[in-house]
Amino acid sequence: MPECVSKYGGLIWSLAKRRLRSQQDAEDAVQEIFIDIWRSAGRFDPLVADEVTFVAMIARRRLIDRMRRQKNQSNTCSLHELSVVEAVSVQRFSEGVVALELWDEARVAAEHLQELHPEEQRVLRLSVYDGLSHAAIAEQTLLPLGTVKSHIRRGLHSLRQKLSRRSSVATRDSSIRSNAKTGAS
Amino acid sequence: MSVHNNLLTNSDQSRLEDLLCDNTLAQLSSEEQNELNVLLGRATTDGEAEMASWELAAAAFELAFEASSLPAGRDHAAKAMQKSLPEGLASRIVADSASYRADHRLDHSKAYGQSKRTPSDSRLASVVGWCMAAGLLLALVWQSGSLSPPGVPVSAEAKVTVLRQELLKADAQALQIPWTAGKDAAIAFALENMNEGSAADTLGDIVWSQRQQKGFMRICGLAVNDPQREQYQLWIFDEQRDEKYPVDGGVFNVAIASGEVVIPITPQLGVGRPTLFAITVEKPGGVVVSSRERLPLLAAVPKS
Repeated sequence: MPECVSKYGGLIWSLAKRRLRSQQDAEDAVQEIFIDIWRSAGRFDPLVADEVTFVAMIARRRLIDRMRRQKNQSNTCSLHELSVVEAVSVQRFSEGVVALELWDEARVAAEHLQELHPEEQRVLRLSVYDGLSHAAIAEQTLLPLGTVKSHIRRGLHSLRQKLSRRSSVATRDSSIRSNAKTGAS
Repeated sequence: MSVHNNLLTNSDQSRLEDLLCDNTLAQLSSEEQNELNVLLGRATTDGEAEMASWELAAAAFELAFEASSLPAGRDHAAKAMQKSLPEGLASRIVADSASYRADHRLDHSKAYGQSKRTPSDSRLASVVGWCMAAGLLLALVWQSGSLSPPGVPVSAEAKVTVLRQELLKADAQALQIPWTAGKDAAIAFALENMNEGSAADTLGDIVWSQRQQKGFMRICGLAVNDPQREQYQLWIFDEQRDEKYPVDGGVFNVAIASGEVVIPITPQLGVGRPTLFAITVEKPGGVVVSSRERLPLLAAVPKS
């Protein structure tokens, strides 16, 4: 447990603080997220996702659920500050992930973002990172709603395909290694 | 992981992917949610895996944005990511895991995706899964960080004794209960060398502040242990918990053959109403559930 908390506590805390309004909400959310991580651990498959991506996925789920509940309670939008929108720098990204070692998929995502137009990057960031609705992004960026949806869907779809191909290759390589091992023995 | 399904037209498939994407971002209306459920119902692929693949892509993007938002420079970036949780939150998470003990079976029924990785290959299984399966043991190992220094003679660690005295002064309601010897070789030698009737004074006592949720063990005569082979473990039986699952007080060692050792107790779980403090002899690192075969010392809380 301490290893897990030490390894991912900072990341999860950072994700929670960015999305939730109060310190108490964020603390409660982090507790919920860790419980969900224990519950879901048996479903983790390292050939499908990095450990940290899996953890971040669970964190996103719980945070989105909590934000939904808050919205239902107060009918107001999240009050967090929008992140500074800037192009993703692979150099900057690399510096950030070296110490964490496991962010291979996030590196693929960063490289993928580099291939996108800055406008698409910005829309994706406002959606995925800041959690804004499509309509709010359209308002913020002055882009047509259809364009916003299209940028988001295309960006996520293409990354998903890249990641799926990686996991397929990893699965095949694993199978080859396994067969080779069997053959050798 | 794309949806390929002869029950869906190309248009349906395209719509399904749009809905899955919007679902990942919590952008579906209730009508769209129903539409998604209908399309997934018609699809023969694994809907949960489909959804997970979109969620993983979103998570990867989020991590990329998160990492790119870190301070410039590797050291600064690493430091920013290692920022600690708010005070007390980490211990609450550990406490959560302990309450999970009774129901900690891993759900191996289905993994996301279709790969056939063996459990031994899974880093998460080794980190998270193991934590879940043995949450309390981890808590013990963690706590042993504060308890693991061998119990030291009072003369060499007067500070602990002072703290014990301060606790007794600060909390007039604090319990102070003498140890009773159990039938175990670890205490037998001490018993043989003390006068009959003086054991209560000689074995030491336990001090526990219910209000402060901490205490001290003062122990005399417990045999020196080899930490590579076995360790002592404290258990706190709580009237408000199942008797099968007492609160662990951590593992500790005794490094001197004679004299008195004082060891602080700071359990990671809350103790509602202690009824009994017990020391067992366990394998290094402690155990999640003790067989209670070796019980050298006990301190029962008198019924009020």
